[in-house]
Amino acid sequence: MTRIETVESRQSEALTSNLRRRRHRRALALTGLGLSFFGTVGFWLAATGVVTNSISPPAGSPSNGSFATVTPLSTTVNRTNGGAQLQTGVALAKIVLSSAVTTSARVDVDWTNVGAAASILGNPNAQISIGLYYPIHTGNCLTSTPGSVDAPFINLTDTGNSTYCVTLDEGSTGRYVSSTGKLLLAQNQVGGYLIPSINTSTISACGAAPLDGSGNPYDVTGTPCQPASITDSNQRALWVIASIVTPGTIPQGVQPSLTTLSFFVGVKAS
Amino acid sequence: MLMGASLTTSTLGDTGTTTAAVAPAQSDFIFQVANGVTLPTGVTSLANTPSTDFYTANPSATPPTTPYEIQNAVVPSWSPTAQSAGSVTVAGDLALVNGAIAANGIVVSMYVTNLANLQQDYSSFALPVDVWQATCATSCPVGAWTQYTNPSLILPVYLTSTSGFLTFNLPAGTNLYYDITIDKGGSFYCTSTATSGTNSPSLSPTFYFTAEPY
Repeated sequence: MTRIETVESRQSEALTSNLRRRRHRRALALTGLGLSFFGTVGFWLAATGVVTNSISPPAGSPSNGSFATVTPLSTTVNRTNGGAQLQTGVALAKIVLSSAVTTSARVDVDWTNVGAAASILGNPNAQISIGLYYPIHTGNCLTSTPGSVDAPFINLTDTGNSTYCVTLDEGSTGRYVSSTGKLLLAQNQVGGYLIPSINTSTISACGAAPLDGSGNPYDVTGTPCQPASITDSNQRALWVIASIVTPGTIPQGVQPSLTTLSFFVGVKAS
Repeated sequence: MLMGASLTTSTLGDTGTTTAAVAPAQSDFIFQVANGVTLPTGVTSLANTPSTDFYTANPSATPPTTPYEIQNAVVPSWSPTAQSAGSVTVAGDLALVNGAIAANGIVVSMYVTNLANLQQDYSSFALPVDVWQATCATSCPVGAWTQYTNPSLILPVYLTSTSGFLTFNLPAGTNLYYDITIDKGGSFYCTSTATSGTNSPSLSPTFYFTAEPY
């Protein structure tokens, strides 16, 4: 068993500080204009004044002025030496941001110890695909195959051990993002970014899985719900979740020298 | 034997060393960390450049030196190998910011100025950028450098090939100094170690810093 955890995260670029900078720059420009006229035309001073802009962040923005709140998550991944493996549902971070900016956020993800991939995963050619996921109903995902979850769905445990079925935002765009909305990282591509595609400005609280025409519950993509951990109606949550593909690992019985994968997750306006 | 020699030569040809260079704006509140640069009075060490790498405050030394002048700047470095992943192996200092120049705070921005050149040699990179602080409010020279802490800024942050810039909003303070550094670690993948030719490939990032007081 190898413990793989996200050890890096970043509170996103401060939105309000950017706005403050713009205001500050403008203030400097105005001051310069006033001084330039001071020596020649006295009445210009009387005609100048202080201009202030009233700028407020969107409702639901973090109180510290950040664009979004990023909470790193630690995930344990089971690995068996020897064969090729696909490990899904490796949660890297939970992102909370204003409902007004859900489709204008840019989520940067960087694999910060890619050079140790061979030591950790037993193969330097391991690939990691990363997506943005939204909850769609409470409880685990429904599946036709016992013991597994079918893509693009993932079982997620949120704050307070609440379980949700989450689904991939397959329309996500960005840099090094596939047509199915997943950022692909490998040894020769250590970072990229995702831009969410699903507008969650209107949303309902998460409940049980919906019923199909026959009265059976089913998983459905494209309709996110509000998890109980988000109590501010102006906020939305999404998760950064990875899948790890290892073509083949070290021989059975050999122990890896490192046991931690590290990622950096940052969110800012796109 | 010949095969071995050939392989050795080929390997050497695919490796190199590189260091980061900084081109700061001229000001009295942000300073490039480089040999020969004179820092503000009291700054006789940096997070990675120890006091022993500064000239002493002895104007009669040979050659003549200036107090608080950097003699051997410790800048970040690493040794890229073509077609291999790597990381920063030597942490180093990039820029010093004087926190006393603002009433409230300072917005420090750093930009990579040769992204196009770097793309010729790196397919991607994520370099760990850190902020350290020190003060000499009660006694100079500056005391120990400690990592800057703020709930809204979890350090280090990563300067990446897909962004190319970072911005820090740092509080002002009398006799307060900030040191912008690159730590050990991070990731890059080197595709080539060429440093000349078409499109001017480069292994070494160059930076431009600005500091805006408010």
